Amino acid sequence: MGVRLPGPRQLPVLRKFVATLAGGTTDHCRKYWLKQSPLSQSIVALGRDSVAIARSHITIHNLKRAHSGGITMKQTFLTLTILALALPDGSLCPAAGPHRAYNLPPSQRLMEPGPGVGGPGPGVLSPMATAGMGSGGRGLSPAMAMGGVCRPMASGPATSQIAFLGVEGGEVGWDVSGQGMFDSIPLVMPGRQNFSQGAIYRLKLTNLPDREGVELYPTLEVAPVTPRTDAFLAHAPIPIQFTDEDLDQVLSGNYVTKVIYLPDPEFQELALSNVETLVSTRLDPGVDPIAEADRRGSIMAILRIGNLDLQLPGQGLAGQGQIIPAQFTEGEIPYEGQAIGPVNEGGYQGGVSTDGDSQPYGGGGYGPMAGGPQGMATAGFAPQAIPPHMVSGMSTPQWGMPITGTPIGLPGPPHIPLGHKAGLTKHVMRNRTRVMMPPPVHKMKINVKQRPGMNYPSPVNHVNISETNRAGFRAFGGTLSPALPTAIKKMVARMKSHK
Amino acid sequence: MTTVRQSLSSDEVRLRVEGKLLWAVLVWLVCGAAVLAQDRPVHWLHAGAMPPGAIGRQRLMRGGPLSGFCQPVEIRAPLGARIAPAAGSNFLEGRVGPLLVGLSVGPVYRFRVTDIPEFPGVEVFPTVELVDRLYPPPGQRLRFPVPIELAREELIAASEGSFITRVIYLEDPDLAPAIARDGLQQPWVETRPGDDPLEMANHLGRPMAILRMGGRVPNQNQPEAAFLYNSPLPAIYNKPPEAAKQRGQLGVSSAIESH
Repeated sequence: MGVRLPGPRQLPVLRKFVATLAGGTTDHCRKYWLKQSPLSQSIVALGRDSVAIARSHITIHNLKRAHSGGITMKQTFLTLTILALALPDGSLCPAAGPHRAYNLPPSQRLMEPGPGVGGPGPGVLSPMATAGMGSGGRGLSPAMAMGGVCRPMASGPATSQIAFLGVEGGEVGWDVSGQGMFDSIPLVMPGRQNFSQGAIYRLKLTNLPDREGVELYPTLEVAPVTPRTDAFLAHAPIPIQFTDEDLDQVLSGNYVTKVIYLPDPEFQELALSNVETLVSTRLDPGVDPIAEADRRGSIMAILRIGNLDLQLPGQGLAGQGQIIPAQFTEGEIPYEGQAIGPVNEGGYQGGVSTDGDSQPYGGGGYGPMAGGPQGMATAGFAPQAIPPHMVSGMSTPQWGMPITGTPIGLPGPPHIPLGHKAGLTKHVMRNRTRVMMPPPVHKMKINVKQRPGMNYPSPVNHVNISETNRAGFRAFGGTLSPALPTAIKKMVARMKSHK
Repeated sequence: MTTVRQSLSSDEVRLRVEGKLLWAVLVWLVCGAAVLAQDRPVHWLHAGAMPPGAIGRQRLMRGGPLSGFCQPVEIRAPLGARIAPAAGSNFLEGRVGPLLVGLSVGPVYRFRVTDIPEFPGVEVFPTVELVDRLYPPPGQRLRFPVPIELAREELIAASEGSFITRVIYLEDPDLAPAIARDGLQQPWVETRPGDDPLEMANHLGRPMAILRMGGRVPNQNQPEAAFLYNSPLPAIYNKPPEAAKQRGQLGVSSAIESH
């Protein structure tokens, strides 16, 4: 990188810059630097990070100049020392600037070896270890499986319990044996019912109080469970409330979308009893309630209500099994029979088949349940919806989409168009995730201090042993010979011997 | 050849240098003050909103004397209410509380609470997740159970649709208030909206168990296996011996509650 370095005449400019650094803001200083210093003319386009690079060049350059300039060198050195201390790019004062908040993946993902992967890779985990984890269908990671007495277990129900509230006495029905049948036992509100997650259900509202003869056919989209909503869904029902205001809006021809979501902590002040509902009619025009709810928290269910009549007299009767499942389609999908028409904004379409059989549409759906009565999965990688009493390949036709496998475990693009043999030969996946992971720790220093500390006496290093094996002194008697008679005897014996 | 050396002997130059150093010190002090005043963000490994069972399993992964340990837990309910643990595909016969059970770290235990006073038809199905254990003197495990209280108001609120998370923690002896307690009612603190009860419990002590309850009810005929978390069977102690009496002098734990 070519950088023109400052000469002696430019040092006042540099000093002025340093003084500005000490008193001004970062942006102001950098702006001044870029404008005034001739040094910076070549790094204008390099941005913030280039300042540190330029600084190293200055240091090297001025070290070379140290041989030729006395006071100039010292002034320059001092100036650059101050510059190094005061540079606001955070390289020498890392904690001075606003600290980046740590943003690790969710803990649920940290337990997995890869994003969206429930094991170390295909064909590595045993079927026991990869058994579904209940609500989310997430696999059991090996670390979980080796948890001692912690047996593999379900983390929560695969269903969400819906509590229908609001219109007391009203009845709710849904499909049980086929699409458009609405042949379930009517649920009188308030009431509860479990619905499988990751699917869309067509409901039928009847017997609404003060609205005789009104029948509504809303759709209920039950979102798949997420780690954020798992605990809530395992313990509490999702309240779906049909208010008079909603029914008035619908009957006047408006289309109402209600999004029930679990707010994030920063939005929980808005929540009453944990969950909150966003209603499209109460938002500003143009505000997408789903996007807004997704911004505020985790969506658990979406209710869409219009005044579409699915059982018009004289038309194809749903009771005869002629309603084709609601299905998400990208764009217009031709279908047979008489169209009842789109029922909401995306591509949920229903129709009446001519042969009376339930025929899945040929596009847009994900997974084997795409032809099922519950329509589409609510997310690309969501667990597949398992509608009640419907098993793909058994009670419904086998349906699925060929997915290209990838070496990283993520599903690749589908082989489209459907119905053709697999022709996809190459796809490129680029990971553009901004990764700022810290480097591994090379040296670890651990200081351990116990309180109270250890306090032991010094070990023994000097021992005096005094052992007495005789009886005490006694002038007369005792087990030993008396001392005085013995001494007299010795003295007599010695005198005799001298004689 | 003469070498001309200039020195910094002049006062003006010295003052200039000292002034620069002063500026440098000031700048550095500003940085240091910012460092000291800055509250570094903390990323907690566990959160109260994590899926049930995740925290306990992560605790097992960290090792320690947790695996296989059966921690006595005393579940207290309002007078007359019956508590029944899940077993197999259904629940055992309910017993009038308190119920002394032995739980392990890792599984999630589902209970059924019935016969709540003044609300005879209400049923609540709380779950208990043990995330840590106590270290009582040998042979005195049953004397020091972890108390989990099912307050009547919370049971009613849960049955009406509220989702309640209660984190039972062992008080930090340096932070525990020196207040005599009768041991009959567990002291608790309610978190503000947006606060994480587990994080707050971490500040105040050592989280021991997480109690979650809401208004969800299982199928009447046969609860789903997922709802029962595969029914890990707790060890049930018939006699909750003098633990309740002696706990009053011990003051084992408190709770953090989040609605």
